Amino acid sequence: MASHATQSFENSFPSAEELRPETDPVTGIDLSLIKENLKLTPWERILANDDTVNFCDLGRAAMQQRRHAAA
Amino acid sequence: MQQLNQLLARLIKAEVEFVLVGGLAASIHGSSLTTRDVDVCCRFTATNLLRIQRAFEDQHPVHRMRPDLPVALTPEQCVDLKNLYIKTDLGVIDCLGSVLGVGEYDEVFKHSIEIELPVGKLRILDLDTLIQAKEAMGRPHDIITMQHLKAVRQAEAGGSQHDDQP
Repeated sequence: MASHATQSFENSFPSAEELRPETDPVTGIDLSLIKENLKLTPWERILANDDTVNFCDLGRAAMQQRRHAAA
Repeated sequence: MQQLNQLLARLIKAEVEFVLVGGLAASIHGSSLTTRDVDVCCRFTATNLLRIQRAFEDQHPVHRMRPDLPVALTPEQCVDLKNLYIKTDLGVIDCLGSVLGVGEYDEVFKHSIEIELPVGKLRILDLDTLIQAKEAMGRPHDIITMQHLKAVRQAEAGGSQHDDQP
């Protein structure tokens, strides 16, 4: 039998459906990311793009280093 | 390291006549896609192209497809140019004389909006026209960008782009 605390957690915890990010039903585009973007200023969006790309480049360089080390 | 923000800042500071189009414009409109270059539609006059050249002269500008060839245009060379693809230390910038589905600079300008950035005023292709351009280009990645932009338009309107579908 579930304890009172577990029952309370189960009752209050949102469903998987509620926790799933909102996506477009046809394209699968994550609308929640777009809505987050729309909260930023245009300049913040430009900087976020640069940050993301630069972070990906760091990750790719690290991956390449790992491959070289393994070879 | 890519610094597209600085590419834009330099174009603005150099008073280049341009409209931001392409992936970065999509990103500014709210798309969650990222991009590695700046696409601008600009007036292809010698004055304007030489302003672009001056804006990046300390950033080792080369022709993207000929990295052995520095960008060192003369006014005479500018006359025949339709597009200019530049790679700099700050990143890549593609300068286009026209945008498919929209037209040449004057038409693109008509369909642009002005936004205020910390580095100055920027003209950017408006959302509907950017969607139209991406649709006209029709390559797989343009279609994906177009779908994102349509999602942005719907998000701004407060719904999903397929709300009207059963």
